[in-house]
Amino acid sequence: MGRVIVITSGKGGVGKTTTTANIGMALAQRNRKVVVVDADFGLRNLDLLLGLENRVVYTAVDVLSGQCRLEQALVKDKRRGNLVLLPAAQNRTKDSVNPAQMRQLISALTKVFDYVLVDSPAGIEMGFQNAIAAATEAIVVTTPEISAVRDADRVIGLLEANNIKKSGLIINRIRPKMVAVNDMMSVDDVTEILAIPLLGVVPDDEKVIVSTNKGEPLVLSGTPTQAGTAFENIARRLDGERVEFLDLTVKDDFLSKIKNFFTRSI
Amino acid sequence: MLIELLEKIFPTLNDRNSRQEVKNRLKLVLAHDRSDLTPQMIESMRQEILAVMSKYVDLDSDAMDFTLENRSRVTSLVANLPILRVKPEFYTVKGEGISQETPVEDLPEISIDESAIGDLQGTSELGNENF
Repeated sequence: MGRVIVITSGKGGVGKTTTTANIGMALAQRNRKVVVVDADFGLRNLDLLLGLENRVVYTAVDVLSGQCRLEQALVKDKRRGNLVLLPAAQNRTKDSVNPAQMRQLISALTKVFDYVLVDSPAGIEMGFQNAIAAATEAIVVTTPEISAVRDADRVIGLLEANNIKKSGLIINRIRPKMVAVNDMMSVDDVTEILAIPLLGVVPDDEKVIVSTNKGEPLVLSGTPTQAGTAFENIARRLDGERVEFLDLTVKDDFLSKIKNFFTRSI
Repeated sequence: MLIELLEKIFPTLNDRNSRQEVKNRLKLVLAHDRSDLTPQMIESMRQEILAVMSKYVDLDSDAMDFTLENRSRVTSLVANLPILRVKPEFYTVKGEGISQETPVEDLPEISIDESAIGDLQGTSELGNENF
């Protein structure tokens, strides 16, 4: 029986789809059988981030309407065979599917896959309700900014109300330099406020944009990157490993040391 | 160029505090978001609590505080209500009822013998010998 994990946030643009793509790929690299489900009907993006947009033929809606079998809709990644995508319909909206149908789809998937990762759309309406319908665990993604944290808090409340007891927090796009000069909330600030277990911290990394340009999740890159390593660590933690959080502190150069000395004494 | 360097070495106090400011704002906003209490409900609660308190004490209405706090996802209503004085009907110092006085006729007879002043019996409370 596979684990069904919804990746959600409330706020849009904080990195849910990027996280789903990278964690999915990282878990596949650890030889787990993974299906990533795009629950963002009408505004699908998971196919883009995985570079699989040209291979989408059928979507979840086609499976539900009986137009095709589930296996025909699943797109297998050619780079890692054990990562599979169930695409969302692009020409429909979030109301084309209801929670009962999602549960039906996902319960079929759990029979085959070790991990079912559901990429939730932004918001808390029907799209979100569909995404959490079959989930028993959740990953809440936020950035260290006021709107994202507020929305994440609301989502955490809704997850609890919907009986999803196991939630983990990912703080995405943190900028250690800004934290060091008190221009951004720190990891501790955010975890203290949201009060759910911390699953991972991913630094802001320009290489993420390059990876989306190419449709190649960062964890596939030959050269290690901070963000890529962070995603790999998250996958390891999901698998039960205890992994230390990356040390993202800024390496001080001489000018910064002088500046820090003066700012402390003010 | 020099000004930029100086600004880098001595950042203004505004920059320093925005992290603290965002935390404070978030904590307050989330305490309200999480409690599911509407502003009307909070205001009604405040009025009713003040009415109950005012039956027993006079409150300093300028210095009072009525806020929601949140710790580990539990919301608390925290009220700081400075008490100026207890309402007179509740004073306990003078006993049962201050307005009731014993009629003069019922008081015991008390007299004084001037020549006997100073004749102490036994030791004083402090334990000194008779003086």
